[in-house]
Formats: sequence, C-alpha cells, structure tokens
Amino acid sequence: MPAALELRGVTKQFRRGGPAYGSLRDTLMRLLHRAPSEGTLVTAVENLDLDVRAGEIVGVVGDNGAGKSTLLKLIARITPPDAGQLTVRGRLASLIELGAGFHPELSGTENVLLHGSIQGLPRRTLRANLASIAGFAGLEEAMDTPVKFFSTGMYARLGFAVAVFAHPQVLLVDEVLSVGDQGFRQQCYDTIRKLQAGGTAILFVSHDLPTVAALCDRALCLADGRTVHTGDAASVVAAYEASPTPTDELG
Amino acid sequence: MELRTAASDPHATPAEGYTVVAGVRTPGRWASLWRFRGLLGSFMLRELQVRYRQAALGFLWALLQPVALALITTLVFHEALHISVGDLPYGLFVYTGLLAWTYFHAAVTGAVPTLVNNAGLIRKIWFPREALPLATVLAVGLDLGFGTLLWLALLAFYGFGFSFLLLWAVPLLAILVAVTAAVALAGAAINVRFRDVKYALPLLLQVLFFATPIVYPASAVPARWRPVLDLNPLSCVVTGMREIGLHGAAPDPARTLLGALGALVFLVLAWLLFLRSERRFADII
Repeated sequence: MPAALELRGVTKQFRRGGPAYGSLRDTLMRLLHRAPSEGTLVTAVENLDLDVRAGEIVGVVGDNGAGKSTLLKLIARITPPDAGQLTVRGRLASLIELGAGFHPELSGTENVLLHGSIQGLPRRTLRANLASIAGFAGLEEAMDTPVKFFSTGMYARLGFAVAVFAHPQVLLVDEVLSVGDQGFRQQCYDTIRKLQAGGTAILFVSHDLPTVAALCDRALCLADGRTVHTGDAASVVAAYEASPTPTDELG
Repeated sequence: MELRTAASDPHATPAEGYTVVAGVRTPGRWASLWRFRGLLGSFMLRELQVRYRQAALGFLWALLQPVALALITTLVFHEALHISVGDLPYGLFVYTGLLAWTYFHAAVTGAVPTLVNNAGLIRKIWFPREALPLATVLAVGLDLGFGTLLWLALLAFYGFGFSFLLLWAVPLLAILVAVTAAVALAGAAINVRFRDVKYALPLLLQVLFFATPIVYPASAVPARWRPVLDLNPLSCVVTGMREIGLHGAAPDPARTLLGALGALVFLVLAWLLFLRSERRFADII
C-alpha cells in the first residue's frame, strides 16, 4: 500500500527582507529600473523526502526557523513548493491553529457548520452530528453563544472536535495542543491514538520532546530546512537534544 | 465523550486526496468549488448573519439605499438640471438603473477586500479561495432580489402593465451577476498583491457610474460614443431592464447578446487571473 503522505525532493524558498506586497508604485519603479527584486532568498525547506504510512505517527522536531511550519503549510497546500512533489492520499485535516476558521460574531453551532465546510464536509452531515461534536468538545451548553465569548480553551476544544470529526486520513498537528488544560491535552492524545489505530497517518510537530518520544513511532529532526536526523522517535529526540543550541531565533 | 466521525455518516463525501507538483497547476482545480459548494453556502450565510445580526432595520437597508439614491438623483438631475426622459417618470427611470448599479457597487466593494480580511484563514487552511469573493457576490444577490420586487411594485404603482416580457429580467440580471463576479474575482486577487486597489476602486466605480446610462438614457449618448457603451455589459443590463419594464418591448437582441458574451469573457478571464495568482496568496497576504 502506498504511503498516505509522500514528499519527494520538496523545496520551498522565500524572499526575506523585500516587500512581499506593496504599492503599485514600487513594482512600476522596479520594472522601470530593471532592478532585481529586493531581499535575500531563504530556503525554508530543502530537498525533503518523507513518507508517512497509514496508522503511523511521525514526529518533527527542530529549532524555530528550521522549516517545520513551512513543511506543514506545503503539505496542506497553503503554499506551493518550488521544486519536487507531494501526494496526500485521502482527506487531510490540520490542527495548525485550532479554530482558525471561527468567526467571533457567530455562535458555536454556526461556526461548526462554517469550519466544517471549510474542511470540505457537507453541511447536512455536520448538522446531523452537531450534538456529537458539541458533546466531544464538552460545550453542549455554549453552542448558541457567539464564540467571541468563548475562552481560549473552549475555542481550541471546538476546533479540535470539528477537525477530528472530519475523520482525516492524514492529520497534521502543530504545537496547538499546548493551549488546553491537562484534561484537554489528555483527551487530544487519546483521540490521536484512536485515529492512529483507525489508520490515520499523523505528522506531529512539537517542541515537547518527551511527548514526541512517547507518542511517535518515528521522527525527523530539521535544521535549516534539511533532515539532519531520522529514525525511531527516541533516538532522534536524543540526537536533537545533544546538538548544540544555535543563537539565531528566526520564526 | 466518544465522537462519531464523518466516516460513519452516509452523506459524507468520499475522502479526497491530491498531488502537488512544483510549477504545475493542480489538475481539476476548477471543479473544487463544486465539491466545496457547502462552503460557499456557509460563507454566504456568515455574511448575511453578521450583516444583519446587529442592524435594527435589517433587510430594509437593502431597499433604502437605491430608493434614497433614486430620490436624490431625481432632485438633482430632474428637478434642478431638468434632464428629461420623455413622458416616463424620472424617479422610476432612474431607480431601474440604480437597482442594477447598487447591486454591482455593494457586491464589488464588499468582495474585493474579502481575501485580505480573511488573511488568517488563507494562511491556515486550504479551500477554494474564490469562495470568499463569490460568497459576497451571491449574498448581496438577496438585496438585488428585494430590490427587484420593489421595482415590480413600483411598475404596478405607476400603472405599467405586467407581461411575459418581464421574464427577460432573469437573463439580464444573470448578466449583471456574471459581470459583478468577474470584477469581484479580479479585484480581490489584485488587492492581495497591490493595496492600491483600496484607493483606486472608489474612483473607478465613480467613473463607471457615469459611463453607464443610469441617470441619463442610453439614447442621449452621441452615436460615435455608442460602441463604448455597448462594450459595457452593465449598460446592456440597465437598458434592457428599461426596455422590458418601461417601454413594454423586448431588449435589443444584438446588444443583449454582446453584453452576455462580454460578461462571459470577463468572467473567464477574471477566473483565470484569480487561479494564476492564488498560489502566492498565502505567501504575500
């Protein structure tokens, strides 16, 4: 069976320092003077190969700026690669920022319908399962309240419930679980395990090294966009911890 | 608590997947809006809910705008400047034009900043990005519907007879929505790259307002400028609505066909521009 998530020679570069967007005037002036675009080219992810098979949890560790978040954005097709190719087999859900699609003025229920349909789920499927989603998030009482009155934890729980409800074959998790309390985190880890048992391929990005070592089957360690260590999670975490800490902290 | 997932639901769509190859546009990208039609509905609903939740007058605002504009225009152009439209009531004449214009204006002004306003969403989640501006174009369509009902009521009030000719309003308004969608898609995409759009748009809309026969009849335009007017699909909509409502005649077939073709070409070009620029949205927004 082919891997649920497959990356081959994926490279992503950013222009740093130059104007990302700007006024028409700047662009016209550049065209007129035939000046090259400003800024330096930074390689965020370089020639990366990765396979995550169904039912496997792969951890990703590395310093800030190592390319972890860019990697997730590439997989979620939020940003296009400059070289290489990647394949996602099945539905993808990302816990990149829980509740990213929520609108503050709308109620919990309305937001479940909105957020679920952003993930490609039909509205009537969502409507039929509202009670179950609210129950999983522990928010049965609050579903008619505008989410602007929700606490950060409530926000995260509802976002998590919707993402899990989508029943992804590929799940991306980025650091988000740190916002909840101990009970919520435990519930998240249990659910991630359950999805894994159900055949979901999971890519788990975290700075929480003990959790990576405990939760993941394998791991890779990124530095400057390249894989520097790969193998079973415990040994990658050990190798990462042994490496010298760089001073540069580019996000 | 245990969570049932979409997998156990009979209505759930089969799980999809994709391959992204550097430098190659994803095949089947066009079709993704259809798979995400629920999203289009959700965005529309969100827009309407947010718009009317805290506005006490609610949908009345949608009617108030063209009516108030029609009154002011009548005062200025008819009473003060004595622009005459034959024996037609000028207020009704101008409302017919403003009905199309207020829709176009509200939808374009609303849709152009949608991508930038939802930058957080675009940076976090993939979905067919055109759903954002198109949802606004369709949501404002509700106002257009109410405005059209008021138009019919005004026709009856002024004693204009109803006939099957009024059914022409359906294709004419479809042309209007298509042009509006084209301008909204192109404007929203360009706005991500150039924030100049915010300043240029009101000016362009003002020019277009006077370049469209809204406060004056198309027949008042000198013959040598007429081709310019015919290339503007909005003008075909406004003129056509007047033909069917006020003159009891079918719209000019050649001009209507030209307007429909123009709208379609605009829409396809705008969509291509949108798909071409969307790959970089998350990087530069």
